Amino acid sequence: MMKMNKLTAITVILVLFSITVIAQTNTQSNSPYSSYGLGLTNNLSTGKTNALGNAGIAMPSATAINNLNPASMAGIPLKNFMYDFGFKAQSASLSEGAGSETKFNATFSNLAFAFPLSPKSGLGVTLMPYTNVGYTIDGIISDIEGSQDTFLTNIEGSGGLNTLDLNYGYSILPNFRVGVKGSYLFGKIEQTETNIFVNNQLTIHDYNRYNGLQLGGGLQYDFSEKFSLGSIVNLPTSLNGNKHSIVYQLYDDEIVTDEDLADFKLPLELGFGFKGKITDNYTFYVDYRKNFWDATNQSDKLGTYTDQDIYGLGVEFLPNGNPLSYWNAVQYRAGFNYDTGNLTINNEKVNNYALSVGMGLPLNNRNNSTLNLMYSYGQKGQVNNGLIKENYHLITLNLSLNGLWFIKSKFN
Amino acid sequence: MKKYPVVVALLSFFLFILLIACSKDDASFPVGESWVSSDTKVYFIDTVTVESSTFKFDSISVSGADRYLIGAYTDSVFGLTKSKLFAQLSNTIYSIDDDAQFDSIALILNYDNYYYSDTTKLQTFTVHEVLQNIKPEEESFYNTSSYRSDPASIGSITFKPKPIREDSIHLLLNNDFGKTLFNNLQNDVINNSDEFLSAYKGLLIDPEDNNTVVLGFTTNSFLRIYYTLENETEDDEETLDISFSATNTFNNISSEKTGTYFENLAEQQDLLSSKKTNNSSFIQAGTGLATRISIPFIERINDINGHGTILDANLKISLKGNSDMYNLFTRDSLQLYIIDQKNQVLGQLYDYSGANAEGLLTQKNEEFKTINYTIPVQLFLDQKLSQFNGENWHLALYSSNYNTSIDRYILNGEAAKEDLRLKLELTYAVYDEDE
Repeated sequence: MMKMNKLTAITVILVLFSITVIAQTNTQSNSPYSSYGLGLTNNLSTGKTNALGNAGIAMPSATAINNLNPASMAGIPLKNFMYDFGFKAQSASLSEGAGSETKFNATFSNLAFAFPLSPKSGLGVTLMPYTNVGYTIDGIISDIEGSQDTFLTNIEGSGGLNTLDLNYGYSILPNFRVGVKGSYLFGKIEQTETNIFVNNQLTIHDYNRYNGLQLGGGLQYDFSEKFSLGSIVNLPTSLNGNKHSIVYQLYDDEIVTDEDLADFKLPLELGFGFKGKITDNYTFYVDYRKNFWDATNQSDKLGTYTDQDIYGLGVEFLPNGNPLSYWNAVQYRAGFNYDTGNLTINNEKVNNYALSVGMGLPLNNRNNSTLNLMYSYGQKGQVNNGLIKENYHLITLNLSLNGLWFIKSKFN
Repeated sequence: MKKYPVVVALLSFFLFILLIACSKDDASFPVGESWVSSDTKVYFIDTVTVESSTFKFDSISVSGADRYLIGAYTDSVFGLTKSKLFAQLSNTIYSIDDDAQFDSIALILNYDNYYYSDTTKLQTFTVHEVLQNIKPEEESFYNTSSYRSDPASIGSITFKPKPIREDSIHLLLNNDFGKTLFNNLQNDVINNSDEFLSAYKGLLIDPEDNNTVVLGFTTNSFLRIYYTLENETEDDEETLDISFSATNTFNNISSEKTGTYFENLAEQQDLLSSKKTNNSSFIQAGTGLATRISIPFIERINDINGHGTILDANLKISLKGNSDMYNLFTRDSLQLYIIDQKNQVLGQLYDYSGANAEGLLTQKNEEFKTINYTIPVQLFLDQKLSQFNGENWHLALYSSNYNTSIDRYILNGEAAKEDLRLKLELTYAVYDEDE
């Protein structure tokens, strides 16, 4: 019982800490691309899928929470209570033309728990960033129309939307699981634009708040012990937005305005996944997702939203040797992800690819609590047609804890 | 089972974070600045309608002026301008030795270096006794305040002024006047200030109309009685000085505008548009001539699409160098009031720092003899746009030292050529364009 209390205490502390951090962390990204729309879509998820090229639509939540498909919740073994805490650290070097700069950020990346409701069903709750905004663009020079003079603009953005997902999975047949998902999307994006003139300075603070609901569903079907298929759908929805602006200059009173923003439309998203266990040691995951952004008809300043294809490929290796050796219990993972991006700038899509490697380090031998580590190297955009190329190193750490309920530990 | 791999992994993770967090940001090259544009559009506008005209303050307060102005000159544009001094005497000595012998009496007028127009000609001042008590109408003396005086003069001087090279003018008065005053004091006819002021209400120092210069004198000018005290061995020459009252001495400044542009400016609300005066507006200290500047259609700035704000606003006005006369000095700053549609003063013009806003000389071109003044009007425009009745707000541009000088200015109006014309230079930012 001592063990249980300790775990509960740690859990409570971590939950409170993550909520605080997720709510307060402003700079969750460091990409100029995050200045568009609602920011950069968060590709990271819970458990071990980050190291598998973000693939896992066909993966059940057997040993860790899989937030990619609500149907996986039906696969949570009875008497398991799962937690997942994610952290990330990213270092990105941005280059444009001949110059480059390096930026860094670190933040919580998710907080999740899931538990079985019955032998056939499970429920999961995940709080994580939905989009990340973080950029600092300094030194924009614009003309003062009607004169030879110019002014300087610095723009800073931060914030992002969060998603609170409620996932419910149900096993219709032992090898066929269905799930539904309800997501509450909410958050605040701040932008501060400072325009500097010879005799004055004009600062515009925009606080854009958005919220909305999105519904989704998923299926998982196991053909055999070795092969499974999964699919997901997220229905299109609109997010309500309002903008609170404070405009001030060195002189005159500040001007405060509140106005409704045009709804931001989220597209229909479809995804398909395949899981194949080739040998006892190797498991492959292949995902394909398509987000139908064209239909939302949205554009933003310089860019337009266009259909997005995402390919994920991952492999997991289990040594399965002498069970007394720690290293034989470690899971090794590698993955590749290619994302065409949803943004077209100057007729160029801002694509993204990433290679990842990871490890699952068991925390003990009594349950499936694992420390999942992932390192990935990726590139977003390319240096042509005025785009910015970002090369980034990303590390994530997911503490996937598994508390066995109602089972007394015989040894403490 | 060994736990150390987990510990090592966690340590490595945080070490990595520490390392990249501490790595120096190579921020010297800003990425993205050519790629993202400012949401703010900024316009420089100098085509807003600005109108100028001339009006005349009914009277200007001259109480407490720290310079005496005496003189007259005739200007080809402004006509005859004349300043007389009404001076109350402020005596403190009421006893003189019974053996003392009166010698003479004179006014000592100390130059303070101010002069306006031609000093090369002979000037004449005459002195008269004032017959009425010199006391302010209501609270203050005005340039138009005047008191009856004895037409008979008690002294005069015709002289060639040397306001810089000489210290003072020694204006000898009649011995009759001096002797009477001396005797009154010596024989205890006058024993205190009240008795003194009832006998001697004041002096008027009056320049002749055909003088060519207005001269400035310091307020420590005075009346001096010279007398002799006979001793057993030798005679002592003594003096008794009577100063001018600090409160009840003032400049009466007037002008004869017949035949000038200004002859029809009867009331303060009368306006003389620059369109009717060869695209000029006028300022003259002392007599109350001021330039009114109107920006009648500024509210049209709100017609620019989107929400906007004024970032900077300056009026530019230039001096018209059209005088063939010398020594008509102008100063490096001009003063401003906010006035209403009837030219009544509403208040001082301030800038956003809280200081009195002035028109400051910002450009002086010796070769082309052009002088430009800049007036910060951002606060004025913001107030004009937001205040009830703001459409009736105008600016009055007047001379500094308006009660201690007769400086005059001729200013270019809106129709002058580009670098000289009266204009409003606005920097306007639209930060939220309507789509």
